[in-house]
Order: sequence, then C-alpha cells, then structure tokens
Amino acid sequence: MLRTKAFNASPGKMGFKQQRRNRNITPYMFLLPATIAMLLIFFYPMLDGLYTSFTHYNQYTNITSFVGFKNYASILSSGDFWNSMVRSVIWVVFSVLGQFVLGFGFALLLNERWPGNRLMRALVMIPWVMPGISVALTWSLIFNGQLGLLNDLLLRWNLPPQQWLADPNMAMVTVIVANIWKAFPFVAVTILAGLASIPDELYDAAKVDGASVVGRFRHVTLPQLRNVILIIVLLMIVWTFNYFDLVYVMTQGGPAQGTEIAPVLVARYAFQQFDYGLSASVAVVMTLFNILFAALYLMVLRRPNS
Amino acid sequence: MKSRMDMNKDALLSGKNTTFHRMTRRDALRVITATAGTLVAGSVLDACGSTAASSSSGGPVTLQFWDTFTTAEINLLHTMGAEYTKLNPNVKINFYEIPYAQRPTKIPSAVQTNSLPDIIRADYPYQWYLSTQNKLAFLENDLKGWDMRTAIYDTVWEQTSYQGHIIGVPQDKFTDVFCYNQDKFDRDGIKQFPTTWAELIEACQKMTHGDEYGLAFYPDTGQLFTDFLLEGGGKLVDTNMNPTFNQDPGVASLQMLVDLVKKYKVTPPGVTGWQYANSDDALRSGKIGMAEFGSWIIGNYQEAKVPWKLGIGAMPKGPAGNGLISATTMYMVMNTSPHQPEAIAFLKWLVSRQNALRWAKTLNHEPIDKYTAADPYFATPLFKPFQTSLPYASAMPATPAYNAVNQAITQAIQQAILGQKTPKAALNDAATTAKSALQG
Repeated sequence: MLRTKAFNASPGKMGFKQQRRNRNITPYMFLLPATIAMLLIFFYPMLDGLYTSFTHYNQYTNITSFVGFKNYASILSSGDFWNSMVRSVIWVVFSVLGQFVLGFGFALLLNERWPGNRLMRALVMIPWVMPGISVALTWSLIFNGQLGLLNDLLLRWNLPPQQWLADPNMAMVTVIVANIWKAFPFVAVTILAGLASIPDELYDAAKVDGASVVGRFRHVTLPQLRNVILIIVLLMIVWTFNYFDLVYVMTQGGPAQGTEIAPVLVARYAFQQFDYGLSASVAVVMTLFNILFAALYLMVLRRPNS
Repeated sequence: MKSRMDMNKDALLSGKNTTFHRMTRRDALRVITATAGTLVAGSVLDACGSTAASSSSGGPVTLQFWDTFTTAEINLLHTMGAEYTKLNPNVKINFYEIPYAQRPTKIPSAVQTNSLPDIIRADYPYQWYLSTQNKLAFLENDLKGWDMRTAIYDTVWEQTSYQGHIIGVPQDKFTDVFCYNQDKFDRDGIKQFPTTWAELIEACQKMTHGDEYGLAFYPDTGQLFTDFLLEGGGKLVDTNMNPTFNQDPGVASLQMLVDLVKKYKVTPPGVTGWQYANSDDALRSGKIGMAEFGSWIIGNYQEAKVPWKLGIGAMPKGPAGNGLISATTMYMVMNTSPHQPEAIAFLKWLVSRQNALRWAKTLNHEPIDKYTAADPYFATPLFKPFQTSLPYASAMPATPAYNAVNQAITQAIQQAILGQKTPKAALNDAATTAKSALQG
C-alpha cells in the first residue's frame, strides 16, 4: 500500500517540478533566436571593434599585433582627431538646432487646419525618405560653384556668386544646410504626433484663464511635448554625430579637412590608411562620447526641477 | 460560453498561463536546433560568398567579375563577356559594377570577409593592396608564350608585377596628357600647344577672360602635382618608400599650382573644393581651355557630342625636363578563386591581339601594345601625344598605402591654395602623415 502510494505520488511531484521548470524556461526559449542573432550581429562586431582598437594591422606583412592603448594615445595626441571632434560639435549643434526649429515650425503649421494640409503632411516627408547619397548629390549640384542653382539665383538677383564648397567654413555651412533639409521632417512628424495627443481641454482652460497664443504655447504646448522633445533631441544628436554619407559624398571631409567630422575620419583611417586599429579607436571614442552624452542629457533633463 | 480567443485574452490579462502549450525539453531542443541550424546555414552561405553558385568539378563555370569605370567600358565588357560565353558555353561571366567611389570600402571589406570574386578589374593601388594581402594569383607561367606578353609595353607590365611575379593582365594604360578645347585655343589666338611651363602660363593667361578660364584642375596628386614634381626632377617616394615629395621639386610643383590659382588666376574660382567631376564638367562646358586627364576622355566626349573640337597635348616640359605618370588598368585573378584556369583563359582572350585593338578602337583608349599602336587609327594627332610621352612615363609607387599618400598631398594642396600653410610647411606635414601610412 505504502509502496503503491509512493509510486503514485512520485510522478505527480516530479510532474509539478518539471512543469515549473518548463514554465520558467519557456519565455527564454522564445527569446533565444533573437538573442543569438543580436549577439552575432550586434555584440560580436561591437566587441570585435573594441578589440581591433587595441591592435595594429600592418598592411605589408598582413600581421595584426596587440598594441594596448597605443592607438588611443595616438589619436588623443593627433591634430586630426581634435579637428574632427571640433568639426563634429559644430556639425551636430547647428544641424540639430536647425532641424529642430524648422521641424517644430512645420509641425505647428501642419497642426492647423488649412486646405492641402493632408497633402503637405505627406510631401514634407520626402527629404526624410530620400537616401542620403541622393540628397548629397542633389545638394552638391545646387551648391556647385559653376553650374549650381544657388549661384544662378544669386546672379539673377545681381549678387556675387559664392564658392560654397571651396572654402572650409562655407563648406561646413553647406553640409549643415543639406543635413537640416534631410532630417527636419522627422522632427516635424514626431512633434505633430505629440501635438495631436494634447487634449483640447487644456487649451480651452488656458483660454478661459486668459492665456494668449504665446502663453498657451509656453504653458500648455511646450510642457506637454516635453518628453517628445527630449527624445527627439537625443536621437537627432546621436544620429547626426554618427552620420557619414552626406558629408562624405558632398565634400569627402574637405577642403583642407574643413568638414572632416569624426565618422569621415574613421573612414579615412580605415579605408585610405588601412589602419583599422586607429579607425576603431576613434569609433570607440565616438561610442563612449554618445553614451556619456545620452546619460548626462537624460540625467539633467529628467530632474524634476529642470 | 467563452470562445478560445476570449479564454486566451483572459489568461493574458490575468497573467495566468492556463491555455498556452507549455514548452517541453523536446520543444526547447527543437528551438535551439532550428536556431543553430539557421545560423550555421547562414554562415556557410556567407562563407561561400560569391563563388558559391559555381561548380569546380568540370561542369559549367560561373566567373564572378567585379568591374569599375565608365559606362562605355562596362557595356563593351559585357558584350565581350557574352561573346566569350557563346564561344565557350561552359563559362558564364557575372559582371558586378563597383562604383569608383565604393572601391576603397568594397575591396578591403571583401578581403576581410573572404568574399572576393574570381576577377577584379581595377587600377592602382589595388594591385599592390591585394598583393600584400596575398590574394592574387601569379600569372607568369600561364602567360608564357602568349604573343601579347612581348607586345604589351614594359612600362605597362611594370605596374602589373609585384616582387617578380605578374599579378595582373593589363587592359589599359592612361598617360597624363592635357585635353584641350581646340576651338577656344583658336579663338584666343594660341597657335600651338605649350611645350614649357612658361608657355603653359602664357597660354592659360590668354584664355582667361570674363567667365572663361585657361585651366581646370582639382586638388589631387594625379592632377598636375605629381607631373610637375617629376618635371622638376623629384619623386613621390624613394626606393625605401620614404616620402620625398616634400623636397625642393615638390615645393616648386606646389608653388606652381598655387601661382596658377592665386597669382595668375587662370583657374575658375573655388578649385580647392573641386573633385574630378567638377573639372570634367568645366571642360565640357566649353569655357575652360584645358584640363589634365587621360585618353578615356576622347571616347567620353565623342559619346557626349561636346560642341567643340577636342585636342590632346603632351605635358609641357618642366625645369628638369619631361616627366609624367602613366597608370595601368588591369584584370586580376584572385588566388581564392576555384576557377583560376578558366579566369586566366578568359582574360587572355579579352586582351588578345584582336580584342586589344577592338577595345582601344571602340573606346578610343591609347594603345597598350605595339600591335594596336601600329594600327593606322592611332596615327592621328589625337593619339600622337600618348606615343611621344611614352619614354618619359613613370608608374605610381608600388604601395598599397597610396590612397593615404594621395589624401595627405591633396590636403597639402588645399591648405597651400587656401593660404593656411606655405607649400613647404603643407608638404612637410603631408610627408609626416604619408610616412606613417607608407611604413604600414
């Protein structure tokens, strides 16, 4: 009897344990394929890049040797690196500022009701969906000193033509203008979505309290969009900091390194000097900069009194 | 009564897993096996790369062929490839067009990921790069006794050889020459093409008036700087691959460029920011007297029907005499290719005596061999400067680091023209950068 009881009880107890184990393991099994894919296509290249930054590749002997922090010391003492960082800061600050102001303005316009509004909402996305290479080539033609549209317009208005891509500072302005044009629709559409989510009651209440248009914008619209703005600005800064193709196609970092932002320097080290270690070390510094910036940005702006 | 969907919904909302099928160990193993299988299959396919589609067991062969350069060249290459397949039904050629600007990333990436094709058509510095990576098949044994081996000029073979081995089959050579607007020369009263630097300056000054200019160029070593350097008695690097372009002839060469832009003002404004396309567009527009290019321009301009007569002039003599660069475009067979014999046979056919002539005549490219050069088609004044330049032609340094050297010198040219640095200081800085790249 006892023997029978034990025999009967045992499978039930085991089954419960097994069931619990199975229940515990089930979600992880579903996550496994994505996790393995992420490890292979994201973390492995990232770690490999990090490792590469501690190596030197000799293109003549085809030998890669471990050099510790030599690459980092080399870039930190290099004028090219600091030039690229300064250029990157200028590129990011003015691009994001322009994209944000223009995008916000468009969002406010598109949020109003006027004929053709729906069509305009679709059209405004065109620059954002265009490939970066196409945008770069288009703007290169517009800014072309001899055949460009912009100089043609200046001449028609009796203004002197400019050599937009020949002067390092002017070239930086041109790539920033092209970048603002390319990315402002993203800001516009995201802000527009944010505006649509603000309840009309808040505006009605503000009106009852006697708030002017500016007052309603300042005390209703902006606070309600705070989180949207926070995320947009963060994304735009990170994307712009890492953006490569537009500048590379328009100026290749020139003239005289005037537009050599950090990603262009990474490409130059990797594909012209074949110095993969140096290139990877700049890329790692860029990543650290992005992480540090994002953390600080969120920390400061998420404080209740900020 | 609740439907199955409602029950699932309730379970989801309540957080209780009442109706879901629980995953057993066997299910878990299936998931792991399927995931691993997919990844392994993906890796295998990836590792096989571009040659996975072709067989190496004597059956039909598909050669993967990477090509760059102009549309006319690509079209002709495709036509000839199709003809070869007709003659050799077992050999099919898949052409992939690699845009010129993508070569610096595409080729090194293919080397690193072991996904090179069977054949690559390229010019410097990729033969040196692929050689140092030990990716090229040595061709000297396969080319023994081939009639074109002795017919093609030595200066061309020089650029397809590395450490005593032949690593490429040449298809073109492009000697630096001035392409000029004959109509504009006539309009501005220039009777003959300049033969010295002084005459060059004088001619450019005569052609500069209103919105017309004497000379178009873009900051690049291949554009005037190196030729002026050689004509001044200098060299880009010494035999030990140390940069020497910052010595006196280099400084004189850069000073000449700066003077053409700033002192004589014979170039259009803004050339510091120019790239190849800007010079090409400017010359096509008819408002520029001349620009330094190669023979590929002849076919391009004929096809584009430029509304003025094209002339070709040899590089004017410098303080130390004549000197210029002649670059070679070649076909390289990868030693990773399982179809090397088929690839080499195809290339020998492509650059055979008849096909070399056909190539040069169809595209209006300068001849690379004595048979083609002897054809009456190339006895015209348009092709004569290529022939007269041949004795002075030099090759680019045999280094895979040339892109880095080029970039450093380009920056120096821009800095000197912008007045940021003196020619000497700019070239010294460029030499420091170049030295580090040249030493690997």
